[in-house]
Amino acid sequence: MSVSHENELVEKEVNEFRSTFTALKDEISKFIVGQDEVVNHVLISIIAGGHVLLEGVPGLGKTALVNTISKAIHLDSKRIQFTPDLLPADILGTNILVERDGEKIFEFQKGPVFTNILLADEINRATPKTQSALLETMQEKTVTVANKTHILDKPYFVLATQNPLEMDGTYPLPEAQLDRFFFKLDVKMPNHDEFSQILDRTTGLTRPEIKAITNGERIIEMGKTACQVPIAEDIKNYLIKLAISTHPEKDESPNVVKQYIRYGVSPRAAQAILLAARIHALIAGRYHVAKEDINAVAIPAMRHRMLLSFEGEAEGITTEQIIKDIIQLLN
Amino acid sequence: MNEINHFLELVKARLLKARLASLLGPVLLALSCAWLIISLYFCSQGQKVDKSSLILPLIVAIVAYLFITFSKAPNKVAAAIYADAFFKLKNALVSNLDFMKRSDSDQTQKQFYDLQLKQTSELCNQQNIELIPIKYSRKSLSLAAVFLVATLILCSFDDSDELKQEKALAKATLETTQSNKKELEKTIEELEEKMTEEERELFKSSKIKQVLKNIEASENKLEALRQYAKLEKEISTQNDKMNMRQDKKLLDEISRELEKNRATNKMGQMFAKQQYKDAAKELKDKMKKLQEALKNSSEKQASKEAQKLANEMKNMSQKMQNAAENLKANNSQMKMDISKMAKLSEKLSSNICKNPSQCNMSEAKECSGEMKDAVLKLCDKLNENETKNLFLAKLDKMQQALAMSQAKINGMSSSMALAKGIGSSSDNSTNETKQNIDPAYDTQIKGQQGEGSSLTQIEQASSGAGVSRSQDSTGRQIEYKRQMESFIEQENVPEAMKSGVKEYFKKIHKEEE
Repeated sequence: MSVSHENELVEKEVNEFRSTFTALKDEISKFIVGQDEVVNHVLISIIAGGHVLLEGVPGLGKTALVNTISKAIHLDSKRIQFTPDLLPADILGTNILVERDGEKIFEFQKGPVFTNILLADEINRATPKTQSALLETMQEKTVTVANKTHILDKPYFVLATQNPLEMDGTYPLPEAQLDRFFFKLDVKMPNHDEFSQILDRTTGLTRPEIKAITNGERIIEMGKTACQVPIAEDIKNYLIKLAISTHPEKDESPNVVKQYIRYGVSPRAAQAILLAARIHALIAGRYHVAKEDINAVAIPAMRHRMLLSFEGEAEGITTEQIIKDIIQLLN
Repeated sequence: MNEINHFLELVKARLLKARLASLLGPVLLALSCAWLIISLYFCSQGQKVDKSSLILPLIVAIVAYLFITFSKAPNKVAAAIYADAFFKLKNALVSNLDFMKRSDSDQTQKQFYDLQLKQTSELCNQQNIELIPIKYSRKSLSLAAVFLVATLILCSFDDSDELKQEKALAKATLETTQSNKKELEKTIEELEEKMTEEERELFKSSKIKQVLKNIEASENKLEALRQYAKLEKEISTQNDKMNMRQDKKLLDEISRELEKNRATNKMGQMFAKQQYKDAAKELKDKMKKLQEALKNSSEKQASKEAQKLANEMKNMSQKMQNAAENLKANNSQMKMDISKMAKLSEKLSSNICKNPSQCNMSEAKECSGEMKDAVLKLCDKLNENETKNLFLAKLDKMQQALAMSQAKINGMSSSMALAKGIGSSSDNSTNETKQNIDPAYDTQIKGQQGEGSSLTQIEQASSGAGVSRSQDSTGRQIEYKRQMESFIEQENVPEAMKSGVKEYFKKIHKEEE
């Protein structure tokens, strides 16, 4: 096979990647009004094989987003409403005693995690025990019950939500568990026009029909393609500097970090950024990762991995502001 | 790749141009500032701006401009970073440069690199290099232009009148010192020609010629006078070396003693006329005749001629000894020789007395031999004195020439100052300014005092740098008075010096008239 032919194949693959992504977005936007950034980042997470933590008040279309995506990707989706009395077995599944051919045996009854896209609604309302059961499935993509490990279907994508307003009786996710989320996204209130469109689309007799644009296998392939996008040393160094700058104990970190941040991001954050930046570069039609790609995905990838200091909390500083400051300083 | 390289080369060239343009303003501002400072300095000194002093800052500015520009000239990577940012290429060029360096990539990666190269080349082709701005610092350039105009205005100013006069004085001093040197050299040559062998020997040992050789033409009057003072000191030292003062006093005293007596009057006149060589010859002849007379005398009694000659010698020696004894402080060799000669002549005379029974001819002959030695020694001294006298006269001539040189320098400055004084204001001649004597003008530098005669050397100080000063008539009088007093205070003022001073005053009187 000649070099030009090989190049054509790669070019075709990249073009397909971009067209699939655009088609997915267009299909989702039939039902989901606005929230372009959230949709973009959710799709990037799915392609990268990561999970998303959505933070927003109820009624902003989080469940609708999951359902729409699952239809567009032609994947199975389930929803769990997390409550304080929810047990790990409720989400993972359990062995139940069944009689088969006159013989009583324990049979594993799969829980709702056995799906492709899982909406974990208000994850912070469940006890840490239940939270950690879900987080294990997110990391390992397996479920172990009674010494038997059950592998989850691929792709497996968890979209957890949490309500930032009602914090009474909740169990905030610890930092170690937050770190497992690829992105944390803020779902914002729609603007006037978007609001109008939402009302039009959701209160009529007919609802937009979502077609399947792609499938799970293709999503996995797209993830593999994205992993091959090259990154120059200068850009990689920029990413490393960005990650290191979030650590207040480092000399090179800016004053704002030293003042308001207690802990900086882990290497997992840098991994997430690079992976997401590669996908972002392909979406933008480039064959290399640019600083812009890194900057575009830095906030959702880093905002939940940084811990504000008491002073930062007291002054109402957000990690987003600090990340923006760091990016501004580095450019 | 070639397209990208070509694009980067164009970016580099454009960035270099932009750098040259951006630095031009600050460099010109610094240069014009330096020029303005230099021009202001010259103007504050009343001088015309020396154009050559503006060349050095110009060279420094050019070198600094080129050095700063090219030392930080953009390389390929810098050009890529700039172009990425300026044309919003999203790090395409920087990434491309990095990817092109990689050799161990797998096939898929290489395909990505190729596609990236193709994409970047297309991006480069779409860019217009001319869009990279070339900015001149207008503020700096306009400020530099203002400074430059100010510098040009300052450069158009000529020397101040005072400075012109100062320069004219310096030029005149230079010319005078040059002519003085020639004259002094000529004087020495003339003297050397007329010198006898003995005088030439004496002159050879002196450093006068060497000092004269080292005298250089100078624009500085003070320096010229200092050099003349050095030469004067050398002549004076040479004079002192002759050590003739004691001998001269003794010889003068001898001439007076000898002139008192008729028998020795002739010899006395020879001494008075400083014809020492003739006197020595006379003494020698007499001694020779005495010895011959003693030879021709009988063994028992000296001939009458011998007795007469012995008495003459005794008489003369006695007179000389009397003269020597009059000068008690004198301890010269000549005094000792005279004393010895007197004793021996006394002894000889007593040995050849008229009474034969008291005569001792053998002792007389022996005594005459010793006396002859004493007489010869004295004669040598006399010969030497005459030689030295003649040499000193020649040194006096040289000193006279030197005094003339000094007078010329002093007279020249006086005339220059006088011209200014007359032209400037009539108020200068009032007595009110009597106390306002410039301290620089009042400076009196004394030369080193030698072992011999003390010599007060006066050098007139310069009137100050930059601005010449008028001197009123009262000031001149004070100056002349001071110089006069200094000459009067001197011991043994040589004739040449006196004549030099006279010349000096004559010249001043002429100017005043």
